[in-house]
Amino acid sequence: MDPELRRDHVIETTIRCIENSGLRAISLDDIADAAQVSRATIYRYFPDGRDQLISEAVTREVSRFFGQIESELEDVDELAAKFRITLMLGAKGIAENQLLQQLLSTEAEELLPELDMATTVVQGVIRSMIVEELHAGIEKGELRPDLDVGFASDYLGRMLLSCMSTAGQWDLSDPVSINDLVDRWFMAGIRISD
Amino acid sequence: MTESTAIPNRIVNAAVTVIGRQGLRASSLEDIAAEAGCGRATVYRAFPGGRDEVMYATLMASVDSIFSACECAAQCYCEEDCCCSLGESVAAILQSASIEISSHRALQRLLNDEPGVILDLLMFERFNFVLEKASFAAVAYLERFVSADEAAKIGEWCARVVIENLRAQHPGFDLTDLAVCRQLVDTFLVPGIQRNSGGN
Repeated sequence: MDPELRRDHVIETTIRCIENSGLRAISLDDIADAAQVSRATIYRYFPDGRDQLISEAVTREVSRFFGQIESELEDVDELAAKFRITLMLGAKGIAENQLLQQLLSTEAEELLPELDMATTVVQGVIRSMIVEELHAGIEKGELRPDLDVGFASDYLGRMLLSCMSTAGQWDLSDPVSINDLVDRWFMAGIRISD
Repeated sequence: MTESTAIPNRIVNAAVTVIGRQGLRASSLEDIAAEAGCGRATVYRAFPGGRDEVMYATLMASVDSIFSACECAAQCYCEEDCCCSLGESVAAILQSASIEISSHRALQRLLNDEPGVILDLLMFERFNFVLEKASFAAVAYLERFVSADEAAKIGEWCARVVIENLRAQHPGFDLTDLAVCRQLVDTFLVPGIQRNSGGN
């Protein structure tokens, strides 16, 4: 088997093992058995063993999650609409992700540091996507020309993740509430004010 | 301080010291009792749930100490004859929360060594507890500027900014620096605030 494919197969198997038995209970042997490869093979692809496998599995799931949202944004032009859709789909996806909810209720302490690290990686990607959006918006004359793009993208990326994972006073299933949120905390600081 | 709160407080303070020194997992009830200068029985009388209850009370007390620092900053800016703006007050609150967190040895120790304990309070549904607390506190701090509803939203915004920064620190985003807080507040919060009237 092609090394990339085999590596991939082991990560996907790890995800299925987590779905079946949670994080704590999984051993490297369980994963090797389920993937039908030897321990030596796993160590060849993942020198840090179990910890590396788990963290790559979590990172893959998190990337998949955001990849799905990104694909929904392809035909959307307006920046505010992109923020609204991301918040709505993100909040919905988190609430409906059974594996996430199950692990949060039983193994939060193990899961959260992994998730936090994976999210930090994704946050870098989100930040660079926002940077592009901001440059394009300034170019089109819709956003403030004096905007500090690095600072703004950092803030916007963090606020996006914060709001989609914890709703606070906002109702992210209600378009009116999302509209208000995006208008105040996302667009007010970056658009050209009249 | 009355006799009934003195002992629990002493135990919680001792737990903050012990956790700061050796982390949460390695801190036993005996260590905390020894630090507080009392016996196990005294700890159990104050906290019948034992170690778990002491640790929970300690985490809550640490959260409270952050809010106390914010209250202090808000009050300094809220003297009757003070002429500062809403933006200045909010920036001072952000900065004081960040300084309190970065100088809190027990919290820093947990963030570095056992982040799961802290993240459990700061991610997903559980974080609503902190957001609500921040909203509630902000109503008192900011009522002279905006409506209660608006102040509650500002409180939530502050908690999100401080906590996101705690989770993933980024150069150029140092919230213990008042100038950075001002830039953040003036750029992203103030333009979206709805005012009661045309005033400041």
